[in-house]
Amino acid sequence: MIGEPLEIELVEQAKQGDNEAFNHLFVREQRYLFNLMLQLTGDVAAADDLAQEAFWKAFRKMSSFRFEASFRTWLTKIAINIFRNEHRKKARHSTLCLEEIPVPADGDRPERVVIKSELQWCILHNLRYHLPKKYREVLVLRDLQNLSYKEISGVLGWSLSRTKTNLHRARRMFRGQFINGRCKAFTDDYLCICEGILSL
Amino acid sequence: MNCSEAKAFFSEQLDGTLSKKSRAAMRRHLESCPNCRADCESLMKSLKILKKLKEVDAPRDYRTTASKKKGGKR
Repeated sequence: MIGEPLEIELVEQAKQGDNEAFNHLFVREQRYLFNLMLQLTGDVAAADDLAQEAFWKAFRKMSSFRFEASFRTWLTKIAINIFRNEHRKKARHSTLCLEEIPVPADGDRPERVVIKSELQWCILHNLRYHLPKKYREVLVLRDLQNLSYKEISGVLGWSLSRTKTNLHRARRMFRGQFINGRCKAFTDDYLCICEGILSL
Repeated sequence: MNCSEAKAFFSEQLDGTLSKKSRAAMRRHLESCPNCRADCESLMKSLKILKKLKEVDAPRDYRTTASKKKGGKR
């Protein structure tokens, strides 16, 4: 019985211009890459564009792959560079955080009701608006994508000790938003009342 | 292990990457220090929240894009 082709074989074939092999690698990684971009940007449309750009860049750079890391780690490094470039461009514009939007204090406050059950939204919002880029990167790679310290060091270009320090700070900062901040209700029942997100 | 040493190692404690010796020292410290214990537990709790973020399907098949562009330079 013929099983799934090994990554090393697919990469070898893709390096030699075999598009079918590259497609195999694409299929394996596209969900991962899209979610990585979504967690970094907090925006579906941006994540879609950046994931596409990362795949296209990987396709063009395939011959430079040296087997120094797994294909996924190599792809992640490409993705992070694309994200950083995009972030630099976007940094020139001010980003709008809902925290700055005053929500009416009376009435049914529909915004609050809608967001109340949106834990997913709140997590993405916190990553996007309340964590500096370097902390967001390390938190996403370690705690959402389960990369090892060593892999993260390679992808982000940091020393191992810097990786550990930044991860530690990132986790504390993320916790601060939910536990020490006004989103305390999260810790009790995972139900967001968004006191830390919206100015209610 | 004192409080500041323990706090510096909380992340590695949560990841299970501490050495056997450090792990034992951490366990002893957490047993005797309620503040650090609460700090470590709340850190763990917030990580559980973060990990509740669900993955979603990619909105399209990116292979199509690459195949279309294939005629260009590589």
